[in-house]
Amino acid sequence: MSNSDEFRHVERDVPFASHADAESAAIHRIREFADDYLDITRELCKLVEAHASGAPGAASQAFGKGLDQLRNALKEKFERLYVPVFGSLRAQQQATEGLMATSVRWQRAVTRVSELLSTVAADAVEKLIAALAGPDASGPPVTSLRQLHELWVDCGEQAFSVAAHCEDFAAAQAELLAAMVEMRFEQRRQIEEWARALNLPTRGEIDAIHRRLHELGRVLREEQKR
Amino acid sequence: MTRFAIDATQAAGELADFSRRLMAGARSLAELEAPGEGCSARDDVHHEDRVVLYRYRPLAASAGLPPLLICYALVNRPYMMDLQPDRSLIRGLLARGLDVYLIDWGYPEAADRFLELDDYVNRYLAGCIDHIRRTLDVPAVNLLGVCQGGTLALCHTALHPDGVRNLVTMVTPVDFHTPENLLSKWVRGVDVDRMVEVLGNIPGELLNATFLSLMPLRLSSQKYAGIADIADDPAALASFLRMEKWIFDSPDQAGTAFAQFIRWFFQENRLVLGGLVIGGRRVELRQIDCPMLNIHASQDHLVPPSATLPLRGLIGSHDYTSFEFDGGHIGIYVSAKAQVLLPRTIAEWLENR
Repeated sequence: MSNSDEFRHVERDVPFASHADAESAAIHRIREFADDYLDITRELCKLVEAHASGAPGAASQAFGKGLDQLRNALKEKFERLYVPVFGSLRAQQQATEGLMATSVRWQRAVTRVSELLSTVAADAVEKLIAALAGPDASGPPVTSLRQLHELWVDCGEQAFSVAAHCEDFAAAQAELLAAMVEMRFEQRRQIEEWARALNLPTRGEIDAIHRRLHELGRVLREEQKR
Repeated sequence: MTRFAIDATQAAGELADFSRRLMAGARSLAELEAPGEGCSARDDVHHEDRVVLYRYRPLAASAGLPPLLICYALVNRPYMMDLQPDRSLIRGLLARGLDVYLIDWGYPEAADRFLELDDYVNRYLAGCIDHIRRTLDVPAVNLLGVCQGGTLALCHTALHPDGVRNLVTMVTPVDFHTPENLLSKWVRGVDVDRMVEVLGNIPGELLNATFLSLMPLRLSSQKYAGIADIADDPAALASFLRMEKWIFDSPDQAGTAFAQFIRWFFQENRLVLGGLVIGGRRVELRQIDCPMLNIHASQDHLVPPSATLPLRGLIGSHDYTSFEFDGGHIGIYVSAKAQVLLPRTIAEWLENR
């Protein structure tokens, strides 16, 4: 840890002496985060440029690893942006962190599915090349773009079908869905907190009413049958 | 040796022509009137909550057969059975003198979140059958279940065999764990209870995206490139638009019923392995002892033949007929050959029973 890092930690842990101090500390922290954010963005640009100019395959793995590192760095900086608190604010902070965590999970799931789809695309291209000029290429000459498109669709669907039937693909799809559901859950929880504070009805309350209505309807129908 | 023989100049011309035709097709599509839902005259004869039972007006002298009730899937709209005059299984059946009824499940709303399969099988479907039996004074109906509606029809018939005289299933999944069943593989790892807990009713758009992603290129770029081929054909464009409307007209799914269907059928395969209980009663396909006609499509990517053919060995009836249609899951409703073949097959099979 560098001297400046130590200084930042000490500074963050000192309770605020006054409103003005608190404000300046908050501004300082935001500036600090903005600097870190810019650094990470620059690193991301470098990573994307390197990936765009490199060969597929191994470069793709390095790209994924690089993205993970940057994502983790961003998460860490973001967490440091928030002051550790206590009391009711702590619960709010935890809720925000929970939402962030689900957002990160969602991004990871999207990245995983994108990686699998990239593999499918690469396989489809290989199939197309083989169908056009491979040793086993057979069939009439492809003389129009439309015929080429049809062949591309055939190759793409073949490649997709092979991948889509694998357990990896199903697991990635399931994780994508689960991540979306959890992110939605956290979003809704925060919105419902606000709604409760304003004495507005929430989805959860309406669901409870619908459940009761459904149960009452069932009881009523059973009574009518007797 | 390469098959690639595209001339650059010719390709540029082809591309320009394709773009021109695609734009023309898109312009014509934009000018077409929004298609309606179905094309045959019908009357709503029974309601319960959002469920409506329709009776179609006859197009020919009665064949003297018991009424035929069509039980469609929950995941799409039933007007696929009556899309347009030359693409309508219902019109084909009416032309053969059948008395046709259709259940429209409607569009579930937030208040329907807690509907269960019990409601669909033992209340709504049973209510429609009871209504027909009561009003026509017939002991039983002929029941035609389509896709997921076939699975519901199987469950209903197993639980209430007295009300069903003959059972016809079309592209109906029974064994959900066969190797070709991609949809089943995808949903097996899904925590569907948590999904419903958070999302409530399951959005139709989510299901639609899933169905389209089973064959992503064929059902997107290839389909839309085809507009260029029909740009000068108003009738073909109108048909295309009707299909598009139907494909994207996906009702939300009542949360609890959806979760039960995914868990009990897709994940636990209870219809085949046993242990399926709906409304407190065990569903056993062996209880189905009426004549059965099971129609499947040889190139069905949603309900592969392997998912439906095991039915023969699971039901109690000895009068079982299997019919294979040479086509896919959608072609079985709307292809030209289906218009002749399916009404004839169903009507003749019913006439013989």
